[in-house]
Amino acid sequence: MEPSRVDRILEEWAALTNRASRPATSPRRSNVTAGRAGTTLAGASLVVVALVIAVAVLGRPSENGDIGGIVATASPIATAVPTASPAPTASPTPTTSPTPTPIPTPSPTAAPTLGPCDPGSLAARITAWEGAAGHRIADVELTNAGTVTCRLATMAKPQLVDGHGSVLIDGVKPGPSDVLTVAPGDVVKTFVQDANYCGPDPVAPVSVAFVLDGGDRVVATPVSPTDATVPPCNGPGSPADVEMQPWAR
Amino acid sequence: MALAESTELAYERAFQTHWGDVFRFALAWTNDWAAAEDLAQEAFLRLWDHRGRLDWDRPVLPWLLVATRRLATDRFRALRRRLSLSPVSPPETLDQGVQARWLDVRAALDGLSQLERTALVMTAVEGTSYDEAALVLGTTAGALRAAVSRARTKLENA
Repeated sequence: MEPSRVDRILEEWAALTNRASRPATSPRRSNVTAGRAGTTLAGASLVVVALVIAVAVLGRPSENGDIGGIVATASPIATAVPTASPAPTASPTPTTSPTPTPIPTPSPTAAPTLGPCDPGSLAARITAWEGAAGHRIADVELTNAGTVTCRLATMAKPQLVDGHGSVLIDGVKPGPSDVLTVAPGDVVKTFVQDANYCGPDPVAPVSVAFVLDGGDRVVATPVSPTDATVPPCNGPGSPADVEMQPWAR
Repeated sequence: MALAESTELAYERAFQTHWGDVFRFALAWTNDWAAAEDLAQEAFLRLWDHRGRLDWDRPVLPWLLVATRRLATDRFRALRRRLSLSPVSPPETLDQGVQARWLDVRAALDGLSQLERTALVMTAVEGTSYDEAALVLGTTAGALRAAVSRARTKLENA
């Protein structure tokens, strides 16, 4: 029997896509943590120092970017960059006026430093739930509902919680993570993936929560007040799991 | 073996094993060769970011495909709009000899929606079950069957 037009198209699609060539090396990111060092003078200086040392030791910098290569075992930059310290700000030298004029000297204004976001000013909500082979994935938006710009760690400890706020699945406290600056009204997004809930039926509504660095918790508004759906139990012997993607714009 | 080293090996194995699966899924979704290559790259970067928190004893492909679909939805909306306005150019990474064949296939599939095209490719080419494909695509098996049926009708009547 002659193949149908659909079959011919799909056969051609399969034949062509089999010619797609996988990149020679797997994509990898250098593990810069705890703020982007490159954004501060101190961080930039440390990177430069690390590179100078690397050049001195290796003779010349790698041309093919070994950080992304399979053979690379460590990123010299990543290991050389410590937690970001505040960039040293040039302190104005106090000048003494030779004449004793009673002009009030302006007091030096401190450079504004952004503080961490007040958990009470963060509003999270689940916009949708999706399923994926034994997992459930919550799309979550977080809004800075406060009046000041603040700093938000891109990772928090995620939790799956029930309508009483009880923890159904507890995530892992993250290590140091990047930081986002969020202005009032800014919205950042993530998705939270959970799997293997084998406990009793939860109290509706099921939602997700984020435990911030200081221990405060932001619970997302559930997608519906009656939603009590939890991920399927893949086996009581297997650990339950809840993970989040970093917050991103 | 140290945890970091073992997760890097697991990541590398996933890349070697599943890059083609992720690329083809992205291609089915976008119908654009270059965008699919970018999406596959981005999806594996996300996997790299999460390598320390994943349970590598579980299949990683569903995670990759869902991540790919989300990336395609979130980041490539503008790209698709731009592509729809600009003339189609053959993919640079494909041999010149078969570039024209790809453009023909692409044109044939262009009349399908993303869901119709991806559902058809996943079930008819990749051999994915309706239930599994529905989970990855965030829909129901029934909706997926309807999408595949619509896709076949459209292609037969094109």
